[in-house]
Amino acid sequence: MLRKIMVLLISFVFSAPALAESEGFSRLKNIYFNLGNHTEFYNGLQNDASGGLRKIDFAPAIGLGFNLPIYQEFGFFPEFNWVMPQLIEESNIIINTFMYRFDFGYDPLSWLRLRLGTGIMHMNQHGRGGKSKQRNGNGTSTFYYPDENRSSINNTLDAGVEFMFENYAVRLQTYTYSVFKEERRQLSYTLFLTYYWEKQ
Amino acid sequence: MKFILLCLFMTTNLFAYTLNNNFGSSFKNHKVTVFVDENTNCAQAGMTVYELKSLIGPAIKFWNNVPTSNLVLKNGGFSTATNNINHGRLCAPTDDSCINSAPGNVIAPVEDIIIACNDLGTNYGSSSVLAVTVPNNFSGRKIAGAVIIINETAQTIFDDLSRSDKIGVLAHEIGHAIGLGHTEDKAALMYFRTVDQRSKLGKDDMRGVSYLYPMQIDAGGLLGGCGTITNADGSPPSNPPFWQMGAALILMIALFELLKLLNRPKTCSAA
Repeated sequence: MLRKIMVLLISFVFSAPALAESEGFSRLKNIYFNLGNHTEFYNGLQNDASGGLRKIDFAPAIGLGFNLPIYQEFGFFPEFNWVMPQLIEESNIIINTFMYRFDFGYDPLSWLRLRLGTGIMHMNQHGRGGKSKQRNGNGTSTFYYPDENRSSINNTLDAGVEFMFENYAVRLQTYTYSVFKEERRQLSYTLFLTYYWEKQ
Repeated sequence: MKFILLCLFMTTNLFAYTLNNNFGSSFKNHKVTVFVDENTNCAQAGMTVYELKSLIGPAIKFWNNVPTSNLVLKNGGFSTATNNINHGRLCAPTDDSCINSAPGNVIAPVEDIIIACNDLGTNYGSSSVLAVTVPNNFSGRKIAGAVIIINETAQTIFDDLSRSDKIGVLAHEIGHAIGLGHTEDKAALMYFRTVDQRSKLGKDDMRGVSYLYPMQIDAGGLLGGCGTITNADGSPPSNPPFWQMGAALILMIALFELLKLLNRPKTCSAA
């Protein structure tokens, strides 16, 4: 699975310039590459035993997107991001998060881009089984690690603000889960550094 | 090559969630009701059954606010009486030694999740054990029902807990009832003991419940557009705030266009 994703991503990266030059992509203004850090459920998870909430996480993400101008300052920005695999050591659980995103962008100023869109957040957990002795009451008990491959798929409402300088940009991208269900609503975010590869 | 790429980007966590059993059982239905047994008596645990019932709502809330999981726990109020639930032995259906040790005094299999206070010391092993949970009804590999018993023995320390700790204990036991085991992460609700303050689930809990009850939404129904998204409790979605979102977007664009007009350099026309 991981190897297939790697191959897909690497072939995307290498084929992107050729794709950009092709006739079918004549409307394409540029292709961009993301490098970022993803934080899941801002203030929605407990971080320590004293009740502190998680505000920032360490989860590197990479991605690729396209800038398709629509009209004057408006554009359409489909992109794919991958939060790099998180390995939970002892259990061998590997967690991958993939984002398939579609933003509309608006450039009110030459250095500022506002984005609003939607995305599909795909969290995959790959368990390899095994067991663990854990404390339980005054003794220990045996518990088990997951041994299957399962995915959670969510729609998100996405908003972002991007500050651009020359071919680079810094972006705060937010993803709201369960927009219409207050009890389950959560906000995740990614801080991206983006490189825009200009079409010749 | 793969190893190098993984080392460059892969992050590691020290702790992991676990499951109650080696086949990763979860409830057969993702909507599960939590009841208090109507005949239970919690005097030693320092509360009335009504107080116990009032803890269920806040306890299930922990598990109901994970968007990556489709688990829906409902507060069912009081259930009809379950045989032997106040004084009987709580055994897993496959635990023959437990069942044979208390002939005629084993708590009957239940549907959904039933909470009761129970005064049989053998169930706890130690007075410091606050509560015990056992899924005691299976349908194939799926859980059909689980019992949570609160330590009601004379030596119980459950009555010393604050209300928020009692809610935390019940939420933890509900975690076992839905199929989760313990984790070594102190930030997680499924840590084996209570912590100073419990306000939300930990990351391990979130991932565990998402593994057992993964949210599956039809990707074609973006933002509920094709009617593929329903509320987690099965009710139709509430009216989306589309007009507010649209108005905010238009207002934002208008504001920036105005700013651009104001910042436009002035030009003088030649006479």
